[in-house]
Amino acid sequence: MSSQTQLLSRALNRRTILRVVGAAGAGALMLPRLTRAGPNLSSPQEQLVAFPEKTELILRTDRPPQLETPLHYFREDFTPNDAFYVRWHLEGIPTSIDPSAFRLQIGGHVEKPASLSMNDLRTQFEPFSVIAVNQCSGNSRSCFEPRVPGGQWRNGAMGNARWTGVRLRDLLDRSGVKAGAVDVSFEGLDRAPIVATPRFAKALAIDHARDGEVLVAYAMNGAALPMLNGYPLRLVVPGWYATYWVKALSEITVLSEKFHGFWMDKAYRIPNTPNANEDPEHLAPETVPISRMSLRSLFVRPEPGEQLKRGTPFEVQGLAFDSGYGIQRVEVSTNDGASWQMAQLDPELGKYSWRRWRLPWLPAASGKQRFRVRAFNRSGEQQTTALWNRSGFMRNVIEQTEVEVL
Amino acid sequence: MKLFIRNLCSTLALLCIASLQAGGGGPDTPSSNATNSPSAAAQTATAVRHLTLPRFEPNMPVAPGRDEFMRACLTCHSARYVTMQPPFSRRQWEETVRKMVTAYGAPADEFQVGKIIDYLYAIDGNGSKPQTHDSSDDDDSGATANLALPEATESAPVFEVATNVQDYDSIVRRGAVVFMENCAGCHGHDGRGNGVASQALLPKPTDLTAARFSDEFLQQTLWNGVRGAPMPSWRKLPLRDLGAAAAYVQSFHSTTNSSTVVPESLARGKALYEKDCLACHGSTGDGKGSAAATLTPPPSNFKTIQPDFDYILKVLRDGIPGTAMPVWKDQISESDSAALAGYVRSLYEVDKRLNP
Repeated sequence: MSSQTQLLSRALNRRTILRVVGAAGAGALMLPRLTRAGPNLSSPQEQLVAFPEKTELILRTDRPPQLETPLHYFREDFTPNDAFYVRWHLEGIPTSIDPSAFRLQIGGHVEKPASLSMNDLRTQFEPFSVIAVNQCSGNSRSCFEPRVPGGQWRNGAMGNARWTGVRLRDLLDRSGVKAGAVDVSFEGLDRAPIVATPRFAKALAIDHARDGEVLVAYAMNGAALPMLNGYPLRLVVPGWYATYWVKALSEITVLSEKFHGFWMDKAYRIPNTPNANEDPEHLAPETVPISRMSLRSLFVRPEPGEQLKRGTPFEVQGLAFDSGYGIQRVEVSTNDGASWQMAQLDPELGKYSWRRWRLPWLPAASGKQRFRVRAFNRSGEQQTTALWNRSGFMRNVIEQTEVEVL
Repeated sequence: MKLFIRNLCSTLALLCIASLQAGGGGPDTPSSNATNSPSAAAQTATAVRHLTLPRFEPNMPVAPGRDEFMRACLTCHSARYVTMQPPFSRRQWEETVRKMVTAYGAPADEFQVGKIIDYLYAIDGNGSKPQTHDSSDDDDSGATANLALPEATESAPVFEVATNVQDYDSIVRRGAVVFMENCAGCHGHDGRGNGVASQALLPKPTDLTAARFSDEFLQQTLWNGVRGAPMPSWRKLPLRDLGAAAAYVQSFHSTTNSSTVVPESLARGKALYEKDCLACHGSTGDGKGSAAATLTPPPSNFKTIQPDFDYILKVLRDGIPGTAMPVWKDQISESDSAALAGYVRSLYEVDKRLNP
């Protein structure tokens, strides 16, 4: 509960800081610089910056870039490409792509290895689209208590888009998967400065790779992907955390045995416990690779710090999504969980899309109130009241927000 | 050897293929027509896309261990990875630093690891928190300003840099492997300073083909790193490998591009040098001018580095972004630039030793 209050005051501080930055003026500074509210390094310090092809996003780190989408963009069902969050692992991200020279390599345990141009992908395969949420495994990590190291995201390491491209199944069928295939691995064009750093590679089981839903996308919301979101190609794994959505995808390899690599065997792992929960004092002995997204629901309005007027009707609004079972209902409490009301659900855009919920609310009295929201999906999943794990993954705790009525 | 390098390069070949096929882009996706500007969308289907990344490197507080932190960590990521974290215990910082070394190959030995943990905990942990340097107040201090005093550890152990030894070729071959594994990410596979990470770094990685580097320079630099630049120290590598890498780096440079300089021009160059360069680079060219102590990275020591003639002209024209070396092109004529370049090259000491 205290962390939520912190979050709120942090957001308020952010406004103050940004105003100061704005007043200082860009002309006065040769290079954009970190501004701090005070001497404490861990104090709230949020800066909005515009990277190439992107609008102003919250700067987490610049190198390699981690940029968070500000909350107000989630008032739209489709997150604009230029506002879509950014997260890379390795310093050497692709900075120059010639789409006429680019080739997607498909090889390994196949009959006919292929080297496909962008033109081949566009003209030789049936285009396929899916609307899907892309969410970082560590989205909302800064809400974990005790805090854990990693990208200190609030709720903006996610976005919803219509992804268009070629079914991975079609690509694999064209190359002819040999009998005995087990895994399919995926690598992009990003590189680390030193060879000792493991290359970023992820893998899916062969059946998952051929399920007809995994996509090699060349378009996002009807346009080419921004460079920072994986131009020219990105793997789309609907319902799974974004760590699998390999950016600047350049190599697909079919394997006759289980894939082993750092980013599957050592990183992006969760406790093998219900809801990936563990005790900070007694870490779970066994871990498994992260996979499907947990059910969660979030507030979009009111935003932290947004003040409502007594007697003026207000529409409380938010989003809910899961790994593809579909949202069955969303309940909102306007009295800190004492009672719950059913929210209205917007029409479903697709089973992997998020779904907007709304609750008309008349602020009857001034003062502060605590709202909560919880979602239920069609497979009977529920959100949790407490979740902690060492990596700060899969946050899906029932959200709370403090609402101030004037 | 070139062939060998080329093979190692092949992973990057996708980016390098220059097979500009005519009309290779083909028709755009149907869905792209949904964008506001269909013509722009069609254009971007074939146009080469570039990305120039802005930098927001924070100034880091001065505390013991800052040097080690900057050298071992900032090659691969911004210091923002630290500044965005909440306070952690010393144990948590230790776990993080050790993970960086064991899992990601951060170049730090046990001594340096200890210093880095101390530093991170001191500035961001639950221990004493010194005042954070507020960079908004001083624009010209440089994002990588480094105020820590030189430490006693700043002396290179003697490792041999092979020159006229019998197994020179095999040493250089080993050096190529060490270089590819540890250096090519920044300095590029051919040493030109254009590795995958170079775009995000400031100052840019040194173009190793554009100068002669003395044994002493390479020994010092590989052992200590470069203060105020992303070049880490490489003490964790075996001394033999450091020597091999140094020999390989020297092999990048061809000795054919030295030029003869007439005495009059040399005298003119000396006069210019003493007027404008001496304060930083020192009267003998050793990089220890009166203003040098405050500069990071430190001014070049021309007794141990001999930049190519053309490279000096380029630096006079453009300066070196991310360092204190300014642009001189508006202050100096072309003929004076040439005279100055000739004089700077004459300061190199190995030449003097070889040709007394």
